[in-house]
Amino acid sequence: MNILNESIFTTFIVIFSILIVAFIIIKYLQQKNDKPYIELFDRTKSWFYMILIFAFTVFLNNIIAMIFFALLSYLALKEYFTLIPTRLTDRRIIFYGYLVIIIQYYLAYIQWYELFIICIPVYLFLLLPFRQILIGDTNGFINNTSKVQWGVMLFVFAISHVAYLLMLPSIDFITGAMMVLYLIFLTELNDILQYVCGKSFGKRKIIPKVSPNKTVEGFLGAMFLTTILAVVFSYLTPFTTLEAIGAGLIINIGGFIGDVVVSMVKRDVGVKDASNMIAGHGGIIDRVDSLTYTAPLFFHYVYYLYY
Amino acid sequence: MYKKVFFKFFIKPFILLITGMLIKGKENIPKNEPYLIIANHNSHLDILAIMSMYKSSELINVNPVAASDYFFKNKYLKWVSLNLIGIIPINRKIKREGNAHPLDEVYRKIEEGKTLIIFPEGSRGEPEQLQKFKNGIGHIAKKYPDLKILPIILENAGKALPKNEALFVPLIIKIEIKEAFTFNCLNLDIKNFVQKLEENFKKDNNE
Repeated sequence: MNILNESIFTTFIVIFSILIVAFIIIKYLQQKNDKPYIELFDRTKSWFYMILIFAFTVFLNNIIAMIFFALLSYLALKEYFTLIPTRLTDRRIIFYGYLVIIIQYYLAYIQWYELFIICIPVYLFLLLPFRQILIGDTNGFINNTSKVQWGVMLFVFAISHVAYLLMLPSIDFITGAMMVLYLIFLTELNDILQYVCGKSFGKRKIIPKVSPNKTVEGFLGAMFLTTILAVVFSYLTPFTTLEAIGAGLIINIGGFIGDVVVSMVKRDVGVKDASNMIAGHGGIIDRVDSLTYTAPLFFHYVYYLYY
Repeated sequence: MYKKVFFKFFIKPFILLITGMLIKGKENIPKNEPYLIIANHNSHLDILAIMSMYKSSELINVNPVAASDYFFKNKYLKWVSLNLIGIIPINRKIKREGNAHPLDEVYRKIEEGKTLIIFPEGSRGEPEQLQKFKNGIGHIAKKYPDLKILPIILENAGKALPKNEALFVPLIIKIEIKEAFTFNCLNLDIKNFVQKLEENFKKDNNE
């Protein structure tokens, strides 16, 4: 019952207070400008449900948490495979892509570090081409095998680091669950701050070819604010102030890159949102995009410093 | 009764969670009148996906038209098809039997006000490829010239579970509901009408 942990409980109260303030601001804006702000309202409402589900699955029981993250990987991977063009003969290796989710999260659960870290990058990497040989369709072999491997790396391997982080043994009352909350809370806040800062005083585009909405001002503004928040919430981690600043920068820069990389995928296949699963947000992919970079980066940062 | 429970607790959770659906054009579904759904056919998932769009209580009135020579192959499949899916059987092999017409059962259900699902391709084809439409749909449309026909284009179901494959690979099924029309408003003879329907699906598949 991680949710009863004092630091985690306090943080959730802070998060829900922020949400309530957001609802009040939206209502105030609606009355003042006499506009409905449907998208903004939908988004905030979806945030509310997402945080509620997150709080009551991940912090209730470790097995439920593993299932939650595995399901997250599964839904993201499914959206990815739906987006990209695939051949019929790739069905077999796509199936292995799904199958490895179970193995990867089981390895995270039993904390077998060596196998966890090489399972997908080495063994799946070696297995997929072998399976392709048995099917024997040489046309587009490199192309399609790479696509599957890349998707599994991003949406299973990268995200499973959160699960491994959750199961880490605690250091002086700091549990893995607290650091998971820290990581995910800051990653998502960084996303929002980039958006808000960019909307408020964004002028110069940072990468106009890939993501026209991203601005230098939004990026720097979020960098500044995320780093401050990383220090403020460092009671969830064993970090010193200097280390917390480092974590803030990792989450800010990693989150930005992850976001843009997934934009790149969507731009390549020519869609804006991956699906319409979450009202106001698009698909699961659009929500976990930043996490695909921040999770492994943050995990190895912690692992290097403290384990 | 079995059908309602079966869809509510097995099919719908499966379709929504394991595969997922992306529905476009839900406002095109006619309200308070019977209509005929025509869709492209690549997979067994087609029927389940289309039926999962409806509320469990509405499902009693939605029946897919299916080939009896396939679905009545053994008694278990027959029981499932009739009681859990609620298919309207037509026999593709026998053309005519005395006075009875193979489509008689279909006509009866239309007159009862049921919503029917018809796959004009006749059987599941190669995934993501359209086969030639059979003429049956033209005969039905001509007999009921004011009956609304609702084209539904399915994508990815054929990749998730193609014909003659047992391995199911989850992919989000995309469903596009087009505007409904009647036989009268096109003003064509049966052959051209069927061809026109077919073009409808082809254009969208090439987009």
